[in-house]
Amino acid sequence: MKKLILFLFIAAQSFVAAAQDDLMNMLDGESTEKPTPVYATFKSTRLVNLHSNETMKAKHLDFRIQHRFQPMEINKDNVYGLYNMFGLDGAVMRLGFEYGVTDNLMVGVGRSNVGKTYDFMGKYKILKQSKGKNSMPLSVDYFANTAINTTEWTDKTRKNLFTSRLSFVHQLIITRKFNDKISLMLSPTFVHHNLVKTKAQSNDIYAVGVGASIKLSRSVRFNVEYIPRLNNRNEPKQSPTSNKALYYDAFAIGLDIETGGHVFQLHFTNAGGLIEQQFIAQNTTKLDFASLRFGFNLSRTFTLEK
Amino acid sequence: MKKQILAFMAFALLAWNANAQLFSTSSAKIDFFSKTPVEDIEAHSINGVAILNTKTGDVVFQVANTSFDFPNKLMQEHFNEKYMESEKFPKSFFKGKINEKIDYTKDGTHEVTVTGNLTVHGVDQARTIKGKVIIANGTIQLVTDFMVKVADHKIEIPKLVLAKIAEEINVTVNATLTPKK
Repeated sequence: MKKLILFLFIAAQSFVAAAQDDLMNMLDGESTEKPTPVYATFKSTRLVNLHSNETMKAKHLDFRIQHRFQPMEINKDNVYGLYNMFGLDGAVMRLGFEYGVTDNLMVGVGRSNVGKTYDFMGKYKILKQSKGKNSMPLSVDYFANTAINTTEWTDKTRKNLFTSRLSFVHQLIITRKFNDKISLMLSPTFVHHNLVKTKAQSNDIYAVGVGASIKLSRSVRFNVEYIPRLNNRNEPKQSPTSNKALYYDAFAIGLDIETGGHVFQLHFTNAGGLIEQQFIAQNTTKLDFASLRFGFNLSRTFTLEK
Repeated sequence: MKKQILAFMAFALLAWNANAQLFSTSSAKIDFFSKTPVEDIEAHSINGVAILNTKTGDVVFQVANTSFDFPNKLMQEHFNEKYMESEKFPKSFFKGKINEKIDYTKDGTHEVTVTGNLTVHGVDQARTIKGKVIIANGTIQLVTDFMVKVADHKIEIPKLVLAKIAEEINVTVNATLTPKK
């Protein structure tokens, strides 16, 4: 009997002795069980050309310069590579301001020198990936834009409509951050041009962008993306002698380098446009080594709160 | 048999006692400040969890790194992604003991020291931290203010932003604990 009391006494004592660890164990019970959001799936609002699931946070403004030089033309037969300084002599570019209205909604305006195009965009986070109890395995964003081509009409005598200048994009951006290192992206896209060049071309283009991002270090990510079009892949060229396709799928490979408020995205791509209408549906640059262009996106974030 | 029952009751009483002396909160305010000539950075969390055992003086604190709110959201992302590596080390905690004997049943303010282990970025540091215990109307308020050296916890700061982030971060804690149910 005494033994039993002694045992109970010791049990009670050891209960007190382990108190700190017990308290530690209790902590997890105390904290409210909410799934924690997954952050930094990608470094920037763009992977390379494609939009990522990231948006500007509320009251943060992104000033973005997107720049693509001309094809490098590095090949044996072509002497123009060095003559054009591997494409650095010419460039296409877009300047944009993109603003976080809320943490989930980003709106932006931009202008690119391809077709003197103004674009108005919005991106909304529908689902956000999270961890913990009742977590969400994926992030899903909806992206849409409207672009206005403002080049002069080639034939001013014809009846030209303003609506002919317009083109539209709808896109779902499905992403998942698998771990600290790897994030993947799938972007089903619909592009509509009110007016296209030839009868053989389709006004509607469907495409599925695929992308991957690998974290190399705390400040550097490696990105790759490819955007195959699903329809209208072999439109004949206007010239009857050519049987080559008029437009090509866009590919890109690049690095994100982040330094505080700036993100520098350096890349090689065959895409000669900065908005989806141009680089998904109407990219005129072939996908081969000689046609790759050097390009960069430069993003500077300003905090307008406080 | 009687003794057995007695012993059981004594044990039950002990266990019950152990529960009654616990005070806790899940809304402790934990703030930190980094001051340099170039830039002042601050962040706030209101989701700190704390438990105090008034009988033994044992006290534990825990805060999820992702619960810190920065005015600049880009900094918040970098804090988690680059510096705290919250994916690997989601929480910071402190496990310690209040050195002074205090009568927690009486209202009053006590200057105390707490000795224990501070774990940030997965690195333990033995610390003795000064603080205040304020007892009023059956609640216990714990207030402290201490410095954390970034290097002590193996948090690397790139040279490029070295001028913007202080070597020592000022951490303040303000937690009001109520009897744990």
